Amino acid sequence: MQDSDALLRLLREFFNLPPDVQPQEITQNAVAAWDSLAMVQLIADLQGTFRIDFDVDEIGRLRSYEEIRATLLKKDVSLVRQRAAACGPEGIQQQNSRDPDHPRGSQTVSSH
Amino acid sequence: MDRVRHWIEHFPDRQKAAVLEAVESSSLARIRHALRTVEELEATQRGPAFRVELLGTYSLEPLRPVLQLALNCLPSRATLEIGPLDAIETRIAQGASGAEREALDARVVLWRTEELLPEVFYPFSNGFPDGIISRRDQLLGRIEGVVRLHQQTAGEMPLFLSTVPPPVGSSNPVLAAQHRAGLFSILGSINQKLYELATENSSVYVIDVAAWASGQGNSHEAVGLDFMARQPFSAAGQVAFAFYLARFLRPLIVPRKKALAIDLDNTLWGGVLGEDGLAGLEIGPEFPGNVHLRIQRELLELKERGIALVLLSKNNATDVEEAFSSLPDMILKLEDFAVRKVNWEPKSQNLRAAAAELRLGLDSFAFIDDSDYEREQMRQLNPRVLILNQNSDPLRTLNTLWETDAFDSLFLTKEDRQRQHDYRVRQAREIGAHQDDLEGFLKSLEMAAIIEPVGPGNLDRVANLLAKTNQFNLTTRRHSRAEVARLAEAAGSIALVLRLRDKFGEQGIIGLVIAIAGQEEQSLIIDSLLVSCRALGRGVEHALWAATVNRAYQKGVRKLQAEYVATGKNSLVADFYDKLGFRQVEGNGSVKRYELTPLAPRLYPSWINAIDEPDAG
Repeated sequence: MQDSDALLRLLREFFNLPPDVQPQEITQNAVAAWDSLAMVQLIADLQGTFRIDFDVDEIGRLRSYEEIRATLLKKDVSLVRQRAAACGPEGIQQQNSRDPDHPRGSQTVSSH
Repeated sequence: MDRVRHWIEHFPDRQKAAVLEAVESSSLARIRHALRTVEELEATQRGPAFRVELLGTYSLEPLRPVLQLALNCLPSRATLEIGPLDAIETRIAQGASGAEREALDARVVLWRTEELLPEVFYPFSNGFPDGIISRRDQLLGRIEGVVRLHQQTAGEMPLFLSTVPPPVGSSNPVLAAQHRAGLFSILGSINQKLYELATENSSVYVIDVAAWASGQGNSHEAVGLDFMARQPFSAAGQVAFAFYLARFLRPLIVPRKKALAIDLDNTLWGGVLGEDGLAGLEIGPEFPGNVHLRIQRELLELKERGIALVLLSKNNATDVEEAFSSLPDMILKLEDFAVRKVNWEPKSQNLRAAAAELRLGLDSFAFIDDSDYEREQMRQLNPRVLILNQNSDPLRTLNTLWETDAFDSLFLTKEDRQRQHDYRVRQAREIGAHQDDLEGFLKSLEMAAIIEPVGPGNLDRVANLLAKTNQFNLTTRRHSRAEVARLAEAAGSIALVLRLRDKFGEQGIIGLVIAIAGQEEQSLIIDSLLVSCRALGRGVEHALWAATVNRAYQKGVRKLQAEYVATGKNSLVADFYDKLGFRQVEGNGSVKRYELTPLAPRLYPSWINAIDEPDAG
């Protein structure tokens, strides 16, 4: 289930976290490398990966896995799909069916 | 992508995959992962030490991982020193080295009008036009001052100044275009100043961020991040920016290629000289000849920049000379090539001979060829040569010439131009005794030769081959389709085609033999024997010949009679029958007659998997 979570995968890779890290453990307070510089890069990466732009008031609420997940879900981003949309057309983020790991792809992170 | 792939071609597979995946996906998480992976490498695998200072008016510290990765990929063991924001002059004044600082290899200044000249975005609030012009002039003075300060404190250490890009956001482009104090005019005059400084100062270079940004559209921008952290780039923008910047620094540590070896058919012109003849070649103002024309213009420009051009072509030298002298639209002349190797030797050998003549190492060479076979041979036998193009399409080849950084340099001096001349006057040096493992290479092609009788299914192709093949063609008899059918069906005939398949795919029917019953009993006359020039140099003729002899032997044939008819185009096979053990029985001028008796079964070549299909066709 965790491997199907694109956000978890991104955070693990971004901060070089151990593979067994639990989503709720990933917070700005708990992750030493998550300083303000990393925050800038993380926002750029989230916007690029999920093809979204954060509003000004959303940018202050991206301080943990849970907060980011909630913000992404509010923006109708499904977290199951891969980053295939990085060069795909706009709006592809709601299509799960092209996820190569999960061809049937209907699960989202909310099913944890 | 191709560019980065070339940079890191000597990285181990794991690092290569991580870098390419990161760059392709523009994911900063992947970039960080790739950086960790590359930093695991031993120093010896990572290129030279390279210490670069970055100073800027926008925030560069967040870009550190992607900049670090891009510089590591040059490849180099890069150390990045990122100065404090908006402290360009202060930092330069401290000097390029000191008790606690190691000497820098290069300094880079990245700036933009948002910080340098914010008034220009709101000209009517800032004294338009005179107030804007006078602020612009102050800024030009400041830029000159930066160069002077650098030269005072760092001497000849390379200083790279970025041009100023169009702003991330601005209003009223219509009005801004109407006046010399408008935004775009001001941007242009700042950048003009930068180009002039680079022209006038040998250690000052420009990184053209403005040209880069205009090519990126607005996909590289992240307005929110610019407000939040004065970091203006999206994730994709950061990756593209970092590798663009690295490209400008690369010539400091990686020498450019000094020679380009290039083939003729389907590259310098469309079509195959040996098959289509002069009249069939595509070169000129009309499509698709104009693509090849443009390739020639690119090559001429390279030559004028001091890159030695080397012509590697499997053709008759006289045909090539005729083509160059009689095709009216050719941009390149034969004399533009520092070395010409027009013959039937393997191109890997010809390239080594050319390298010896030019006194260049193989790693100074880039290579372009439309043939998968030739590129693969070069890759295997001369692995230090950079293969520039990936396929046979001339548009893609042209694009490769546009995109490649293999010939990047930061200077254009008289010496570069002179070098082109020197290449020609140098004495040829003894060619090394290097022996190719040609057979090993041919085996690696995984060739399968499918032998089939001539029949209704392949008659069209057979007639086409007879009409077009000039070089590997022993008798050059242009039989019609009907004539071929008649010959193939005649009693005692052996008429076979060879269909070639290799690891690149189906190559189609590329060989033909037609043998008819002779006057003497149990004799057979080789009427036609040919191999398409596309398949030359692979030894497929030996498979075709073995199939022919073995069938003749099974039929009880005891004598083979054959002819070589010289045409001016087929000197390649003038001694083909001599090499096969035939005895010459007659020779008058252009026709030599041969006999072979008795017959013995022949083995197929070891590098070809022969598949004999007696019922197919």
